[in-house]
Amino acid sequence: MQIIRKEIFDGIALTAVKTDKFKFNRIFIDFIVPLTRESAAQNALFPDVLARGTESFPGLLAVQKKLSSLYGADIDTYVGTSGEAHIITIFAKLLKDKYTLGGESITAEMNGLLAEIVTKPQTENGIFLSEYVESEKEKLINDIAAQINDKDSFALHRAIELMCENEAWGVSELGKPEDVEKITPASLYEHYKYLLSHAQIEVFTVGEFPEGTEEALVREIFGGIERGKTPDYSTKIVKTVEKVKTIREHQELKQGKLVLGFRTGIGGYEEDYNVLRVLNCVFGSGTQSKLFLNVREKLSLCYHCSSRIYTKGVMMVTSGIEPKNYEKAKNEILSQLDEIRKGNISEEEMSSAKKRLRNAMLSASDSPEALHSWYANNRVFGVTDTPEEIIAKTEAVSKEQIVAAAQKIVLDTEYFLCGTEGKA
Amino acid sequence: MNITIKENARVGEKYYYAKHKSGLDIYLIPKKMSSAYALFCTRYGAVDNCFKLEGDAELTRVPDGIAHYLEHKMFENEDGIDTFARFAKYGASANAFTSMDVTAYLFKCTENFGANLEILLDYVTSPYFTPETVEKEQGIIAQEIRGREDWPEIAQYMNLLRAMYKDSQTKLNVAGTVESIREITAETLYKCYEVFYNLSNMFLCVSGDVTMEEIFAAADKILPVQEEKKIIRHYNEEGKDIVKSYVEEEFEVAKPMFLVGIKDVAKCESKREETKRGLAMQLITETLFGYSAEFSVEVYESGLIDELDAGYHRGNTGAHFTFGGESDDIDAAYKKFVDYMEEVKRTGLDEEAFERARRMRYASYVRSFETTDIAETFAMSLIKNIDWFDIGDIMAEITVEYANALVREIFEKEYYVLSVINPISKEEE
Repeated sequence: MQIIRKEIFDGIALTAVKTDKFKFNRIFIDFIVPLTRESAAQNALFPDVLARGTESFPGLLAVQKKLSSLYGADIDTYVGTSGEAHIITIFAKLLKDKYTLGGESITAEMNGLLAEIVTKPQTENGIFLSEYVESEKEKLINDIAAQINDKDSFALHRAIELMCENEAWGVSELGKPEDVEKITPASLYEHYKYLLSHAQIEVFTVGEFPEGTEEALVREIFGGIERGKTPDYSTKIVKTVEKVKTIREHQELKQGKLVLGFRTGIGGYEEDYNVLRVLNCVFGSGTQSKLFLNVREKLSLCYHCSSRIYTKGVMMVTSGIEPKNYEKAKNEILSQLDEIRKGNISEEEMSSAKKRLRNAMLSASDSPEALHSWYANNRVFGVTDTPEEIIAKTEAVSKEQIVAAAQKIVLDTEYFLCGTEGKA
Repeated sequence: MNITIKENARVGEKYYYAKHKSGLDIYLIPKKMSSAYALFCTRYGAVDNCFKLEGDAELTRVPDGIAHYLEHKMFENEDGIDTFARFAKYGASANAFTSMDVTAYLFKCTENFGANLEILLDYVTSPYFTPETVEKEQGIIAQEIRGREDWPEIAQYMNLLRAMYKDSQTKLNVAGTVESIREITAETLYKCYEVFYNLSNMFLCVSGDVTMEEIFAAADKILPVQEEKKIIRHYNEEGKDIVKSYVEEEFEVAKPMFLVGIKDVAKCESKREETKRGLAMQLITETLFGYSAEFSVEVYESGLIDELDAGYHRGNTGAHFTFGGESDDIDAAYKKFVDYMEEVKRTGLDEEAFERARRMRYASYVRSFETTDIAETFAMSLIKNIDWFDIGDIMAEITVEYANALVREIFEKEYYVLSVINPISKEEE
């Protein structure tokens, strides 16, 4: 596997991962901009409008029929965050020519279609079609409302929103329904043009493309666009907590969803983030972790209880419990963190945590999606380490470093979503 | 070691098969990847709640959810060292799952494959439970069940199964219920273990940059030679008749959700015929409800149905087709589906669309071979006695005439069942 990164235009770079491991070739186009309340909804909406039709393939049916004739090639769009950067991804996946039933070549056609979707959307009077914009607005509003359907994910995102209500990280990646309402075909088109000329654009390819195809594709899509200055999408790290927020909300539920939000103070920019990676595995990630072994195995309080760290300098712990066990579970989670602060970490825990990280890092090269997410998220923080380099860094982490990092971790928010029985 | 090799030149993959002297079937799909994936499976799942061994007088009936409970308890060992801790020492990520027809124990690793495989083979062949350790699991599994009860999609699907199936075990909840698991004891767990964890009822499936020699070395070292046991499973007969045609429940969801189901109770003459039927249903589903189907685009554009999803599910005790989505007007969405299927039965499938669907399904078949996850796909196919390497060829031989006949046979509207999830009505507040 060979990885080449090249800046093609100002603020537009190509990362080509050359490998014959996979049956499909993949192209990811990431638009990276700051996450803000004002722009989140527009960022989430524009790729869906692009997918509705192009100049040569007007209408969803035309686009979908073309894709299905190319062996069900896929063009998908999604939004995510990395720290306080908003990443909008347009993703294409195509069977390699050598696996087609008649040996026919489909790659060139697919690249053409992808280029059209990104830069030649269907327009009327120089702006997006109002029919598409209104229809996609309605669907986005539905998607935002539907976040309530997945209770575990809802509880986590609600806790983050409340914990970071005055920070960009608290902004939902899909935006708010009232912000979606305000969007017009003209404002959205203007925003789309702004993204083409100002967003940091990272094109990431994985697979076996004929020599030079990847760069030619980037030139075909983005050539001729006049580029302006890329806005700052850096992440602000909050290190202290004035007062712990305690929030309880209710829904008709069989199980209580507990979320604890902590400030680690260590963002994705810092070398010490590698200390946190090990700490997180000792504490709450994986079946060898303290949370799994104590909250679940020893006390039988839950089926899942785990921690996750974020490059924002935040750690979130989630668990599903019997509502009456709220205090018991919360206290056990906090007391396991205290154990780390006190240095009660065995040799075996250290070594299992590092082996878990090593296994995860080495496996990343088996998955195009994992490779993309690794490089895209790190790029935002200016980190250029390969998974192998991160392994070396995490293996060098000492127990003392973990204890020191744990002592700086502070509880910020306690959130509990549970049934309505106990409601006052 | 007598190794059989099977190749599929078109997708550029092969697998090795050999029977180990212990009685265990072993499969390897070699792949030059960083990560290796191994699954040790028993043909035992939630539907196997009534059984006996050949020669036994009586059938044994066990509490619902016991296969899943047993899976949890296999992670405990006599020396008190948790199985996860054993794997953690060698850097593997270990797990297990139980479904209707299978219990699978697995690990993925990038190093120490042999040592990890020895652990896998060892702990699954060494049961150890006491009344205390069995009791301890109650709280954990109860929360697993409760957590699933908060998923509207799962409730909708389980409600649909219970309305469609009168007697078949297909309608059972894999984890059982908070009540049924209270009846599980160490003694019944041992009983189930003895019957279903005989190596002749199990197989090992591996994919990665490893060799049959490495696998056999671990098997030789760990596995006892076992005498084959003949298991007699009692599955309840199921006919076309349904329990009721409509079922609903309220949940805190954004928009009403619906799921239509129709059973396929036909008996197939052979496994190959059954496979062909299943694949044909997938092609039909792709043709009629895939992204490029005119129906799908129309209901998307009009906003009548969001999150449209259709599929055909086949297990060892039952098969059914489902169609669903979210809609503000469930009556109209349901009628749209019923009318559409009646029209398709009259006119037949669009041949061009059918051929596009065949290409799409073929590409997704090729994609299944991309990573070592093929070990799992292959294993789940073995559970149904289907050779995953044959799928491409069988798919190629399905004609549109065969598919049209199938549509007319299965989609009889008087047997449709509709399961609805409504948002909680707030009027009384």
